[in-house]
Amino acid sequence: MLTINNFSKTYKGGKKAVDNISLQVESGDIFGFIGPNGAGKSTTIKSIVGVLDYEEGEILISGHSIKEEPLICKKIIAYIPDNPDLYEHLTGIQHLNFIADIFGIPAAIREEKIKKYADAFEITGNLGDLVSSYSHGMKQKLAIISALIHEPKLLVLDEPFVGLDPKASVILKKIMHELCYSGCAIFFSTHVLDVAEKLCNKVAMINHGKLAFAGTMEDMVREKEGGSLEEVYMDVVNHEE
Amino acid sequence: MNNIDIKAEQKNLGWLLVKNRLIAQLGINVFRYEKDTHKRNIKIVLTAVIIICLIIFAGYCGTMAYGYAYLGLTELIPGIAMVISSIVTLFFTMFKANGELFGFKDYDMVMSLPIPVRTIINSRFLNMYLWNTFATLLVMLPMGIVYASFTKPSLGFYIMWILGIFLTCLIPTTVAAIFGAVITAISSKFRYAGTVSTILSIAFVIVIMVFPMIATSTDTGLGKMFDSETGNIDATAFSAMAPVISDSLNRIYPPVKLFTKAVVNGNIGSFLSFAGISIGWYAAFVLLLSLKYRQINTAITSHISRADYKLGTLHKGSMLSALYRKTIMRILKSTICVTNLLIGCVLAVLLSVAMVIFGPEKVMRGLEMSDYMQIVKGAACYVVAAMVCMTNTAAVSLALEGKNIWLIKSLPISPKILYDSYLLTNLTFTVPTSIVCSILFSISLKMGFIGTALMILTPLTFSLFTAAAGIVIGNRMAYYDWQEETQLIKQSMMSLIGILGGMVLITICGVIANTGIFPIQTNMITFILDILFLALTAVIYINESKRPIKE
Repeated sequence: MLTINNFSKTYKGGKKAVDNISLQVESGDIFGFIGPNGAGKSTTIKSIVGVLDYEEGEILISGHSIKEEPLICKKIIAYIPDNPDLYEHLTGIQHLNFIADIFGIPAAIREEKIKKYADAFEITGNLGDLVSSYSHGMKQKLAIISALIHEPKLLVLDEPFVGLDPKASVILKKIMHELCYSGCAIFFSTHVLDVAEKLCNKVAMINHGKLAFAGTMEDMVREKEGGSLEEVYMDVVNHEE
Repeated sequence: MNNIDIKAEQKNLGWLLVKNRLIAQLGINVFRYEKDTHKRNIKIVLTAVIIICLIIFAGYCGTMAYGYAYLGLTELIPGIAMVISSIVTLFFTMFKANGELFGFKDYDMVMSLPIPVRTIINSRFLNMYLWNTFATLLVMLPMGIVYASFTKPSLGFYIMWILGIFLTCLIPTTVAAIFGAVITAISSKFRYAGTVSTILSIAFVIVIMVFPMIATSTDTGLGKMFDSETGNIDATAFSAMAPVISDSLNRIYPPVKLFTKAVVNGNIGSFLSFAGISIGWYAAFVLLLSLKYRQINTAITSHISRADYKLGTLHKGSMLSALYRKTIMRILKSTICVTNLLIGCVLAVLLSVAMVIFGPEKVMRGLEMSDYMQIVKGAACYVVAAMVCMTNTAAVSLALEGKNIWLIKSLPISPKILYDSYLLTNLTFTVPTSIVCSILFSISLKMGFIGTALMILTPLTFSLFTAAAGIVIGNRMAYYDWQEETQLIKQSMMSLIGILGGMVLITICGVIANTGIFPIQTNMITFILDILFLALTAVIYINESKRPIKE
């Protein structure tokens, strides 16, 4: 579903944010992308979804290059950034309708999806209010709903659990499992290692722009001779310092 | 700690806030620390352009003063200098109240710091005052130099003029802040606060523009200045003008009388009255405002939330219609956008309606352009086009995405459809306005068939052209990390070029068509220009549609 080959990203001024990383995300995977602050997680994620341009390497989504065929790729991706800046001048329902129109979702399907997810996250009553009146957590929920209504094949999330209340976190995890069972792939970054350990079947660890590890959880623990993800993470981070 | 120490500490805290604000507004840290050389270079170029414009403006004020002095009307210079400074201050301050005094981005952080509310208000006001004093300096310094060189005044004049530069903007700054505060306070009570604020702001702008015309409805005699037979200046008519103009200025702005009396007649009592009124007015404003400051800010930053929505029937729309709706709502819900970007259309409509209601002769007399009637008839289509095409939302639409740009870039939206939505938004404002104004002008000027056809075609042509050019401008110059809309709408190159570029180009075309440069009839030149610009628009549109969205 997602193939990254020898991807590197250098910003103006010569700073290499990501250095030659390669990884593969298959359908049904919940792939955790972890690393310390400034490691290159957000840069990688933004390049995957087409927000950032890049010069080196290749990023393929279902075999299509995000650089050469961006529209085809974006039609099957859903992206939620770490701090979702939504259209504050719209109401919640207007924002969702806007996204639904972009993806050409028929009226009946969008009604069904919006009702399902808005009820699950308990923000149906707030959909008539301006997004500018929403708290951070409500904006996060709205962003999640807008990502789910067009049934993406690849869900790319940057710190999705930040700002969510515990109940919403549980609901999101449940939704992620359901999507994976139906063949979707999920690629998300997180600082919360417990969540990554419980949720993910595969994980990649990035530090100073370089990939320290990419593979299944079992392979990682075996390779790095660690007991838990946290121990492996601390070992990688301390070792590379 | 005694009272003097406390006051000194508060002044330091206040100055810290002002300094912080100035660093942000001047972009000093971009020059010092920005690693992206492209961004830094753009900042340098923009700063240089602004400095050049300011020098030209100061030069224009000085030249205007020279004109009055040369014609023997030196006693009008102080009053005119003061009125110009005050109008500039009024316009620039009024729309800043919400965002500068109220509801500013770091309000939460600043108010949580151990700084008295009055110090915070003083610091925000001082920031506005510094900028307005700078604008006053640009007007009053060159005009004062010209006045002094012609009248050779005593030392007292210099002292009063220099002090006057620091006092002149106090009253208009406060008046504009009060209006801004009242508009903010009223609109914050409504669900659609932005829309209410926009309507009230536009109404205020219209009042500001119309009031001087009503207040100075007396014929100043400018039209009688020249002898119609010999073309020479009529000395009697000329010397009769001064008291009429002076009276008009006093009616527009009463403190002018005090200041003029002070500097022209050396009347210290008048100057002290002027200074007392200015400072007292400001002090009273700050005192009253500090009592209600938190309430006003709470009202602005709180949002009405009903939380009673029930999902009804939803309708599917096209991608283009979704983007168009989103863009047009974005513009209409922003007071800064509406009052700056759409003002051209508002002015065009006002002028057209005035032409029909009062008749072209009366309007021309009101604008003191009676002798230019024939030229106006020929150039009317360019006048309408120039005013309407000041509305260039397309130039800033991409940059206006700001923090939301990630949505546009991560969604399956082709550049062409995005640009089409921006174009449609722009044309929504300019096309109906062009048609309505053109028809009204044709009726009032009693144009024939060809004149009317060109009257409609020319503004439409330029509306299309400036919108397409706006997309090109936006796609070359857009940046998304702006902090305040004012920065983007009022202080960016793309906004400047988008608004003024069209005006300048249309004016040049109007001059070419009407000044007999080519040995062809005006109507034919206008028609040829229309065809040329339509063709150019098509080329620009086709070319730009293939270009990716700016990084």
